[in-house]
Amino acid sequence: MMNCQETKRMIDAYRDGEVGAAQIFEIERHLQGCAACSQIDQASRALADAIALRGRRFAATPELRGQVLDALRTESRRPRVISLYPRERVVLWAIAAMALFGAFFAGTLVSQRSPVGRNALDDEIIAIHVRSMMASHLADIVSTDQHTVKPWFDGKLDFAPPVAEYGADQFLLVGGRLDYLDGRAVAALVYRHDKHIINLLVRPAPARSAGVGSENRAATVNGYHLLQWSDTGMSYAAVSDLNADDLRRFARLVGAR
Amino acid sequence: MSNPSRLPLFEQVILPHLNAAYNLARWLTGHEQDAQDVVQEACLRAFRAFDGFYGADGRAWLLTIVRNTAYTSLTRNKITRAMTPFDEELHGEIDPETTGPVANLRLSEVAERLQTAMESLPPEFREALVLRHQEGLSYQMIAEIVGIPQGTVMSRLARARARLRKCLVDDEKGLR
Repeated sequence: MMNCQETKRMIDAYRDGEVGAAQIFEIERHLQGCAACSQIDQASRALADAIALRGRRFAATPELRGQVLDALRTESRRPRVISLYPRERVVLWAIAAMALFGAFFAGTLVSQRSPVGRNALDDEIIAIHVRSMMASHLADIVSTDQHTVKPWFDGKLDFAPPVAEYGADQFLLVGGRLDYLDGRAVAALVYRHDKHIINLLVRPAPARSAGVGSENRAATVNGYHLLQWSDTGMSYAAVSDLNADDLRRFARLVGAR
Repeated sequence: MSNPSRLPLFEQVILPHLNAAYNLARWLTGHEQDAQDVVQEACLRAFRAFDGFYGADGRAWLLTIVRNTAYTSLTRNKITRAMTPFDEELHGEIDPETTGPVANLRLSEVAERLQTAMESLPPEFREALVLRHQEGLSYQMIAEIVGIPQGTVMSRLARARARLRKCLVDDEKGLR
């Protein structure tokens, strides 16, 4: 059984909910039989309540909120490089140089051997994905709520793209934007899985494939995985640097809706 | 990355915690204007670093930045208060077990004196009390924000409470 000294040592952590079930049991058993410790427990609670309930909590004024927003807007319009400290700028240049070198290298490899099954549409979809990740064009409407994202497309497209949330499966809706694929405006829905961004491009299925039902395609280009399929008159393309299995899982979720 | 499309997301994920940010800054600096400057600077820093933030706890993340900004500002404005380097042992010289009977302290009546008492504590104690009791953060989250082990969070809180109790008890005696 716990003695007074042990109980006193644990009492604050006990009140803060930071001790395990076994210790809670021991402490409570001791408190029942010890008036002195019980008094300390009450005092500890009273003090915690006083700070939480009666201690002053300062709130940001609307003016401060406005100032912060103004500062952020100014900051967001500023070209990035200017806002960087010199040391970070050097790092950025180094990364840029490496990326350029890498792109050149990858370019020569790709031109040497064309991957199996690769076509112009794949390239276009990958390009959309890559471009969306660069700087400022991931989403025009940022929301995790399908009921915000879906209506946003109204009047912007000549079709209504299905928008759903798959948060329960760790695919989080980030937002949506308009994009352009295969000669027409398409809906781009953006999802995130861990740190990976997924672009889901939705457009009405081209007439030539209507009736075929599904025109499933999988491709991997420069490390990006790409899945295409058609379903109930819509053509889907999911593209990400996510591993192929998870991307297939995502595609199944979309298809199962 | 600072670009326009990040702003709505930042507003949605981080700015709801502006009150928590201001409260911590206000307690740490002790001045309204200083606290506003700290919050503004912290939000800008947070926004610039927003790309490195992935779905963790937005409040804890912002509070970490607020805290660092506040301490930088405190060091910069040494004039505003004599900076005694914080020493856990020295500042917590009161043994939490020997503060005597405090249950009879009428805390509802001393509530208004809490602020004065809290302000008299070193900022390290103040922040621990604010993060634990006002923000309701776990020891682990406080440890991450403050950058100290969880065990230290626990002992620091114990010392902060003991100091606070002593201030309140002394205050009570002084009134009699």
